[in-house]
Amino acid sequence: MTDDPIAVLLTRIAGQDRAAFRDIYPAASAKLMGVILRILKDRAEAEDALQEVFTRIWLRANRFDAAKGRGMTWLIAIARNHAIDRLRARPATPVSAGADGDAVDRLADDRPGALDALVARGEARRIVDCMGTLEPDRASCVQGAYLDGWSYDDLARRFDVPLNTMRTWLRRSLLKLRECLDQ
Amino acid sequence: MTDLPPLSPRDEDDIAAAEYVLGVGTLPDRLAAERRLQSEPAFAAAVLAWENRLAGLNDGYPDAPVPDLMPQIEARLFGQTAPRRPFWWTWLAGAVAAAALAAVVVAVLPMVSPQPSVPVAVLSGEGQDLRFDVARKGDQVTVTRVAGPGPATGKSHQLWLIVGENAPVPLGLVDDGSETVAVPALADGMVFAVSLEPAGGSPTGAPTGPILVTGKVAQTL
Repeated sequence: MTDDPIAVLLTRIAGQDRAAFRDIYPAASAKLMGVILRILKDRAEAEDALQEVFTRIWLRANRFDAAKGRGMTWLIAIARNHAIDRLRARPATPVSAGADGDAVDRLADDRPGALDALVARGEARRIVDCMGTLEPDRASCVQGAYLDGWSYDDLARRFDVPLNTMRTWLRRSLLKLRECLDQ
Repeated sequence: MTDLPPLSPRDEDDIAAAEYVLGVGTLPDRLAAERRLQSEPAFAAAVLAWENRLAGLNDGYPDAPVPDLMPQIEARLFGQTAPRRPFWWTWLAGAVAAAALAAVVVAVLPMVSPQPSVPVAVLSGEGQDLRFDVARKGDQVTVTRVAGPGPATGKSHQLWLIVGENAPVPLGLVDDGSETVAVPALADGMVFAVSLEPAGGSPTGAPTGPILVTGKVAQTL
């Protein structure tokens, strides 16, 4: 028997098993809501997005391959992609210092402190080790992009560097991470 | 800050996959990546590899309380009532299933989706007889010419998606009167447009001819 109950459910859902679809909701919805809410930061929109995510889970379950990854990883990828697409589709709201004091405060709060927020256990251990090989600012960029859905524009503004510099930072960091993670 | 040394084409693709997984691009960047995902198995494999590499970061997401939205989700997918059996069901049930029929059913099955098609936009233009309806079914958007003539010989009708202030993203030709494309990120306020282009579509990747019709997406249309 496999140690990945979500993968088992997904395989059944791929076979149009509606009972399995009902079972995956209590098993995954709190985690996926956590993902979506952190990126969208708006509960009403997050609940709508969550419905869309579960709709996609039903429609795409046949593309899941348990040999190539864990079930929860696949679910979170769907949730992140949808939440980030929604975030990018929002009309641009420039976060400018002075225009909105709250936004500046929030900006400071959002800036992740190194990696202490990450619970370093199990699967996460390795990425934490590899993130530790990056300069702290660069690791924060990767983390802010991944967890909060920050775009290149957001990152450049928050870290107060030109867009091209941010692009170079991040690409360099990704190459380094790949080298470390693939070892 | 020195620039990154030029990447090999393989690394360029791999970084593009990583950027998609991180989510740092603009919406047009993401739509382009999503189209590659569907058409390039190597790119899809690179994206999957990055999803797995970065999966450890998922521990940074806390659980959040969530109401039971399953009734709404099932209504979206299956409709309010019990799903109707497709027309071929009675056929199949009663049939002494000839091999040919079985082959047809196998061919049809993957295309049968319980999700209803939902109208999301109507494309029209001032002084234009031309009109297109846009309907969405899951990730798929179907654009159908419902009034007016097709393009003249040597011309094409090209479909575009415009998101905010960004440049139009080409989605394909609608010369045959209907075109289905994947738009996973469809959202209210996006704009579909059809322009008149040389046969085969715009050579530049941006509209070169007049915009004939446009329509804004409203998913509660």
